[in-house]
Amino acid sequence: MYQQVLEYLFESNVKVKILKFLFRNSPGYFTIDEFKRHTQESPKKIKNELENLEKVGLIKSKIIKIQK
Amino acid sequence: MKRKTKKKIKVVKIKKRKMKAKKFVVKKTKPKTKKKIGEKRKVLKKEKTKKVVKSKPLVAVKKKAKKITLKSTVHYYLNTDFDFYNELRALILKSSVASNQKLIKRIAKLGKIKLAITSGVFLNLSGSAIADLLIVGEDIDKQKLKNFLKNIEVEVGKEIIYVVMNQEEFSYRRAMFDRFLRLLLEGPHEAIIDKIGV
Repeated sequence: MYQQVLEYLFESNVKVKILKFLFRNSPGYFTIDEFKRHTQESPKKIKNELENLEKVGLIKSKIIKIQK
Repeated sequence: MKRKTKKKIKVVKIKKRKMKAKKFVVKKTKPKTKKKIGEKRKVLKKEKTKKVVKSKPLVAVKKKAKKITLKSTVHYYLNTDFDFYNELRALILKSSVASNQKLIKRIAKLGKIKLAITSGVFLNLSGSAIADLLIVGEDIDKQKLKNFLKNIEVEVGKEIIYVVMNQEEFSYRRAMFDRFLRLLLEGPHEAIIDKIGV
């Protein structure tokens, strides 16, 4: 099988990494920091892709207040 | 005698302290006596500004402490009502496994590898395996192993459960029918590198 099929189909490494991470850990809520740690990409790129995916409707966002 | 000497020392100490205090006071009062009225005002102004500066950080610190207690963060999650959710899920989960050839190359670089077995995530099993990766070998570079695992975790998109042991431990565990090895070898698995002959 040709390598990195998904990367070529979606035309973005970051997007595929994000999608893989989300689908592998499917019922879960993640912050940008966690995406950064698991995908090792810059937070700017991650944020861009997340916003795009949110526009399409595949991803939803939620503001959660955490006590620290 | 001892008591007396102690008392004496105490008295001397107190005197010294008083002297110090007096000296300090004298130093403070000196500029006041020397400087003119205008300069006095300046000094007073300076002191006022200093006081204000000192009082500010205290307030700021208190505010910060309050802020930390309630931290709002944006969390992202998958929308399961998305039109192509199931199709996308199948597509991504099917193709996201790292290819075996790549894995073999990378694992072989870690040291003298005798055996490498993949299971769990690598075979698209959902959480049934005890470990995802078993590596048996000698002289394994820990730093390289760390980097390797980090890379693979990024590629797979999930934390990997891995076990590393040398050949002695492996043969010992195998001889005594160790539970962990038995479950791993009886379950679905794939030996990518096999120089022992499992």
